[in-house]
Amino acid sequence: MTTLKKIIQSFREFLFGAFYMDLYRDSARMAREYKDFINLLLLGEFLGLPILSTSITLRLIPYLYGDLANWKRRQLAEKDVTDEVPDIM
Amino acid sequence: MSDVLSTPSLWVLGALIAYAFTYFVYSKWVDEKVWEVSADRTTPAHMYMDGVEFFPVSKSVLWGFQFKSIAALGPILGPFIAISYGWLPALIWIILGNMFIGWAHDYSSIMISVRNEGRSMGPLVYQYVGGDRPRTILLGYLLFYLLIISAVFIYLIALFWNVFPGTFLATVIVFIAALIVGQMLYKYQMNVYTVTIFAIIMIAIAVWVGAAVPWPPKDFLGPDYTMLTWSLILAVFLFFAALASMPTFITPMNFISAFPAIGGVIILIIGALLTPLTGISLGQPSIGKFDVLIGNIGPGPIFPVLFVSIACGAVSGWHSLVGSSTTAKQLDVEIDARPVGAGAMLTEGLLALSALAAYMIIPAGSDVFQKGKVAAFVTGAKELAAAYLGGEAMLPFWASFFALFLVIYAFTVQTLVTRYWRLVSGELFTGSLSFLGNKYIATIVGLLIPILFALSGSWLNLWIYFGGSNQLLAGLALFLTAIIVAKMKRPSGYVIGPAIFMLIVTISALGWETYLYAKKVMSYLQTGDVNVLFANPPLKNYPLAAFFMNVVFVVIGIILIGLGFLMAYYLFKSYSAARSEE
Repeated sequence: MTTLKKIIQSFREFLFGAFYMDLYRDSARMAREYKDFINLLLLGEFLGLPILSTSITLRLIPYLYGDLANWKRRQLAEKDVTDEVPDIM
Repeated sequence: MSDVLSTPSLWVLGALIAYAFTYFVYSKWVDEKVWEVSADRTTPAHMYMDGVEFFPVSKSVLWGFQFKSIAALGPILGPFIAISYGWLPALIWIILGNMFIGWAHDYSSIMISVRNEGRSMGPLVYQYVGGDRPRTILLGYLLFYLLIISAVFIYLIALFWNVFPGTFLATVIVFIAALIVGQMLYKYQMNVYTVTIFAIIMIAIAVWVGAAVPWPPKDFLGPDYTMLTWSLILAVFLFFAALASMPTFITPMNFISAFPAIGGVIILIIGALLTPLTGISLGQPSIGKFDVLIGNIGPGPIFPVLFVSIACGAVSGWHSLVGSSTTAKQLDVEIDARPVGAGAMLTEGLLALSALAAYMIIPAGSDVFQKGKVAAFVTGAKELAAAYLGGEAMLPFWASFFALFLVIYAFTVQTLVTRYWRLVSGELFTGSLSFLGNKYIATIVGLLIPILFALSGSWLNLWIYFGGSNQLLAGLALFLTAIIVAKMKRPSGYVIGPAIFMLIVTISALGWETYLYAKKVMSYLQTGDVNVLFANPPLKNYPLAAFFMNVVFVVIGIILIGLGFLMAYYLFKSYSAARSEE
């Protein structure tokens, strides 16, 4: 890649970071919140919450499998309000 | 040459050389010798990749994101106060503050988080400073900080709506655009670039309406009640905005406000650099008075006020919260921390210099500093922009644009602050006080108290309280870094020196403001004259209430200083322990 191309690429990435990254993060966070609810609804039974029938859960597990490790980590992670600080300054 | 010297550009270019030295020499030394960064060390973005919080992105994307996150009204409005001392002291502080403190603070807050599994400030304070008490102090401190920052921004938005007729209508158009954009993005799932074009067209319409329909006129309800009315109207908007679901308003509003905000910043920076070609020359004196009191109010002595009036353009404590809670989780490799943390902060320094340039070019003796106060920014900024974009014919458009720019920036910030206040209230108020954590009550409290604050002081005084608290937070973050670096057995001088400087400056500034309010309270007790108090109309018509609010500010000042000292004590204790560890 020539230097000029690199500079143009970096500039484009800078603009993406400045204008779209926040939108991506916020949207991904919202989607994840819904996903966490679905996980709880479907897998809650494994945790001792009698919610849905196991047969439905078992059929859906292949779709949930990819996110299970992250979901577990999220649920066990320490929560702190300073995680949520907005970008104001 | 003398022509070039009489424009702001040479000074901005001089600063760029200083920043280049900081970036390529000083920060590189810290990066390699203190933190010993390595591209092979796994970052939290890879360790815990989930595509939402933790995911690696390139340094250019993260630089843009970090810059967008930290660039707000701080570096734009702060120089207004600082220019009372002449533009030279302000310029020197912006350059030196960035060179020795600002970048070190932002870069380090990213690094301490990256080396600690992407943890944010709260857990880091808990881990390194000694458990729950310091963390609760930090939370309590944040609560007061949020009240003060809310007071500043509510006052400023009401003021902008009042002094720039037409801006209110323009703001309403932007609100409507945000609601539509929310639907386009999340309900109809339209292409984001199509939505971008729609948003930019709506903003252009808002700016045009702002320029073409200057309604309602300034002080339309008389000098006593206009500001109060605007504040209450704003509170209603903020109440619904802060309580609405994220996709309904906050997220699309943040998204569309970035276009005029970052666009305005870029226009300003280019305008400042092009001044030798556009022929705009310096108007303000390089050195002013060093002990400024404008009438009853005013910033006060150059030390410590200069160092807290320009907060975010030189160093800002809030950056440590943002850097540790978000940016650190997306850092691809450790070697990117310097271009992202230091790079974004030095770019912010450039923004502060450009904003300073907008004040520098206002002719000496101009009445905008007295009459319009913060409107002075618009006066200078429209000149910088029109000089290379459209000429004199475009001056009304640029005036409307920069007025809207200020309002949108302030409104977006204030919505986020109000929402965050609710979250912190929910966390802090438990047991018998849990009703204060209720989302409706917390939001109302988080709006009404700042309105009362705003009515009882000038924004200059509020700004110094805000700047003082913000900078104190920076001092505490630098101290925390020093503890972590000392534990690593690496030299901590590059942060401990600035940390001590910031603590001295900020506690002095908070002390100065507390003293000012205490002096007003004592004068009132002796004379019984409401005019000696800090009070804006209509609060001025109610002497006892005005007196009470001045007492409240004395108490807040004492609490902030007390919390600052307490936190500094814990930090210093931990720092000493870390240094003496075998």
